[in-house]
Amino acid sequence: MNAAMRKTGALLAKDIVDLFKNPTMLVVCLMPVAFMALYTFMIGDATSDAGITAEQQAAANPIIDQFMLGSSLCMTIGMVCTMTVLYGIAEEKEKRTLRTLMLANVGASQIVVAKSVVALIASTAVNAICFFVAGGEPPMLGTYLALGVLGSLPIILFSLVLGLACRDQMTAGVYSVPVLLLTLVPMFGMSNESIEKVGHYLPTGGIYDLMGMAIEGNMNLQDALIPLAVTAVWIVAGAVVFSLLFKRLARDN
Amino acid sequence: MAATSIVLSMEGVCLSFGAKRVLDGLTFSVSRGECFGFLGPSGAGKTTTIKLLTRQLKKDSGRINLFGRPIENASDADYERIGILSDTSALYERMSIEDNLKLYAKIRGKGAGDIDRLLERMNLSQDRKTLVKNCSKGMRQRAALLAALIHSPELLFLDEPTSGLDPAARAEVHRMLAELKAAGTTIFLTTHDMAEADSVCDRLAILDEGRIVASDEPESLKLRFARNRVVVVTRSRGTLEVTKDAASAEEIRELFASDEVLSIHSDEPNLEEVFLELTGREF
Repeated sequence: MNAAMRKTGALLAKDIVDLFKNPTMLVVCLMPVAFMALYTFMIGDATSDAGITAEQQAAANPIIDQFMLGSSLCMTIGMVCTMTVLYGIAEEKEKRTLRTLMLANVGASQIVVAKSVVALIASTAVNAICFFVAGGEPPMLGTYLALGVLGSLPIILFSLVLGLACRDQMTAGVYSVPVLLLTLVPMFGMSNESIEKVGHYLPTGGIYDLMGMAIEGNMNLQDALIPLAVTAVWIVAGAVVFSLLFKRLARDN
Repeated sequence: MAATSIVLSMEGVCLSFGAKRVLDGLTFSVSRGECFGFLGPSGAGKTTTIKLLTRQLKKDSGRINLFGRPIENASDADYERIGILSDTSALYERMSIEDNLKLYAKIRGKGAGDIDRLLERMNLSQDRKTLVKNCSKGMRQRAALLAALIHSPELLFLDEPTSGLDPAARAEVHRMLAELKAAGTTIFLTTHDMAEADSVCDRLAILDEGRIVASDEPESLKLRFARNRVVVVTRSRGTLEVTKDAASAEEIRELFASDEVLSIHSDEPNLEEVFLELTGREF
């Protein structure tokens, strides 16, 4: 157990340092922040030009906040979690460092745990920055970050499976697109009723809805049950797919 | 040879990929402190054998023993006693040579104390801070070898360790292998380089199409295929090839007496010729 923890710790430290040295990862982490800065600017500009009353503005604020913070969660989870895990593993495979690690008696599970923890740390840090860029109220930060961690879990699990399945970074680019699209769908729910209906049941749909409830201040268990269940089902589905395919993919690849 | 001194052995090991049999009844053993060379043309099964011995593949049949117990029962602790440099070993490109070695030292549960000494031995001290992406192939290969040695393994698997290295770097690796051998490390080496096998290995096995076609000490192998002839270069009669027998001895004595002999030497085959003789193929 000690050896496993020592190895995981060594890989974790290496992966965290690499996050700052890897230009691809840096861009991926900056993208959600840049998008939130752009959205803040665009929405602020739009509301001031619309000539709406203070009452109308007050009524619109929760909707805008849900869109901003919900979108921030979806983008950060979609981009940071998917890319850090998928590209991280793909690069290790392409450059053959993964094989070298495994020949040094490092287990696939230790590599996977290190990559997952790095993805969680990176997404939480980016989420925190996005929260303030999007103008979130500080008391909401804890709930927002907790939802970020919850929503990250299924995406990390699916990304791990895809990362182990892909051959190189080019394949990783192809595999990441559907995951990214699925995570982003809920933020477009406002523009189309059908998208909104579908969005509730996607991996980040549950946390998007929970964020809205938290902003409106009516997060009670009865209302939160369905979004929580949706999130839980995706986490379980990710865990099942991962546990079914992990051994085979780790061995074959 | 005492049974307890055998670190590694294979007995009748077979492996097929689909319909193709890649290892066919492989049998050999490697003793503690021995440098065992595994030679063969591309596709002969050298790397496959290393993969079997290092848990990357599973055999179809036969027995493999590692540190005196069946490989199926080998523990993680047994594998901590092994170092592996494969033909595809690679270090992290955005990290320096030193940071890579520190990472592997941490993974292996060793302090960074030995890193200075290892870098010095491989003549990499000056380049310790160089990022791996900026290193030459030779530097990368030597650094990868150090990563495999960071935990002072008892058994070292080296798959083509000097492939692509310049003569100076190759000499560094050979010197290091000699030091490791002297320190009691068991080395399992695959190589295409016959001169390397001849100078570094205590014993050799020549593999062809998944079978060991010969196994012995390098000198014994060469003697086994000796051509039983002597080459005499003369002043006026050109180069003469004579057999090693009494009649030829008389002939040579006469040549010496008439001051005809410019040079004389026996015509033993080198390992490459032995290999060609055995396999009928080139590397």
